[in-house]
Amino acid sequence: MLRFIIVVYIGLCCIDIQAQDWPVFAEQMERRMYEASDDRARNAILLSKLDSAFHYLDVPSMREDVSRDLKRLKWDELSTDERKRSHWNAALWAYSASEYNEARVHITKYQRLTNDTSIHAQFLHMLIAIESDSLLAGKLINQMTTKDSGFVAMKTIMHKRWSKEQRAFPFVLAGAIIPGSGLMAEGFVGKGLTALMLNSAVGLALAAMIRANLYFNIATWGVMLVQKFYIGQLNLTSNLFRSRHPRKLARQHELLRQELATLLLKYPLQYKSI
Amino acid sequence: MYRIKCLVVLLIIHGTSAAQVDVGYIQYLSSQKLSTEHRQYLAHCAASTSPDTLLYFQLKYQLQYRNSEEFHKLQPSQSPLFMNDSAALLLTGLWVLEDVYQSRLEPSQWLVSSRFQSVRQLGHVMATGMQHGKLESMQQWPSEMSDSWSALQAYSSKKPWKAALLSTIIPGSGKIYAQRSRVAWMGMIGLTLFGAQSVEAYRKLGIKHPLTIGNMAVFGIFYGGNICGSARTVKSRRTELRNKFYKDASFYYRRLHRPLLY
Repeated sequence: MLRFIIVVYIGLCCIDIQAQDWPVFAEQMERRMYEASDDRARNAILLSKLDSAFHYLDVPSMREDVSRDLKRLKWDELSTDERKRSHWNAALWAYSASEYNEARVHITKYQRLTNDTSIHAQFLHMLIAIESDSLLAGKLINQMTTKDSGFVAMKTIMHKRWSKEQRAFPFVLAGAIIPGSGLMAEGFVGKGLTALMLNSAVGLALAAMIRANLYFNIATWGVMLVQKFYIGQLNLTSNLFRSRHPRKLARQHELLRQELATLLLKYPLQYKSI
Repeated sequence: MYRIKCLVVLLIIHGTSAAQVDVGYIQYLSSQKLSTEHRQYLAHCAASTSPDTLLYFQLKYQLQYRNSEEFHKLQPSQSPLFMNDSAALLLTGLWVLEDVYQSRLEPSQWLVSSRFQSVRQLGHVMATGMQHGKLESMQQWPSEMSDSWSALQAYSSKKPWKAALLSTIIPGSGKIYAQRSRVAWMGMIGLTLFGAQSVEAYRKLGIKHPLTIGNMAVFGIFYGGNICGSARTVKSRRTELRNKFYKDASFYYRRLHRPLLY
């Protein structure tokens, strides 16, 4: 959703949206490249093709084409300005195409080349880091809050979101000590009680087998039932913790989306043109 | 008058050349793997190119990007140009061998009856792997394929029902017969344990006790499952060996002929 908003926003910001279909345009550019006299000219046409491609709206079918063309580009043959522009555009494109590692590579190269400390550059870097490196994202959000208090709310939301990921452990531990207690503590009282009853029944059955000297039965049923019910309730505790939280996470996501929408209006992220 | 004639001739020549597909450009698009641009170029040429030429290049396009559905829709056997292009046919044969189980491509008759010997060889490899009856009466294959061929040939005598029968007599032996020793031992140990717990429950609690009945039911399910599993293992192992043979064959023939699409 977030990405969608950003993509649409980027799309709306682009004045130079091509009226042509992407395949037609791409083929025409390739024809020009094919007819070009030397590698430098080909690279220049490819760069121009990419510059135009970035201004198309997010068409899924062209994602692979743009990724491929980015790999074909001979970066060494570009001027510094062209490299700066292309790394920025590539980072923004890769982010909107959910290729976060690629985006991270380009934004890092862009930062190395420009040492851009502008809020726009840091904002994009932060957006990419949120998806790929939470440590860096935290650091960048902290930096942003010093520049603009608008990022404080985002910082709070992100901290809540990240801290949530570590909190499943106490519930699982409780479930390990008293089966079902973790589930009950999470709010699934019915499921917790069922788990407690089933595990008690398994315990009683195994105890009865011990009393009756049924050693083979203890070994086989013990392994099967303990794995099914005891380990099962621990897995359920952990899984339900995650599945229960999407509602909370969705609420946080919605808040984050609103925050980002406001921030994007204030600091629009645009592809850089020639 | 002479000038007008020349002009007409020039116009005809120009018109014909404009209508032709630029093979060099297609080669460039193909080598750079520019599928979108390649498709667009073929679509662009559709109006000005003869249907057979267009079909030929479309088939080659689908062949390069391995789109089996579109490739078959275009009916390769209907294109004389394609059927006379040994490299394209060879690549089709290799594709059929490599993807036979993934894309469910059938061994095409036109591959087996091709006028090119290299293509016929591939059709032959494929048909051999498909027909179990032919396995015993096969000739020599190149050394690169002989190991996987021998393994497939040796396995061809194994029958699923034999594996099932063996597992019925001695649980796990069917899987040893199917050359799955590790799984066989695990199954054997598991069944022994289930059997032992059933006997133990029977001796100490009697036949009518729910635990004894439950234990016997579990044993029965695992016993039956082991029999079915053994039969299935023979089939899946045979498919595995056939795929290995096809893979080795495709590797060998690709290296031998080094076919180029353009």
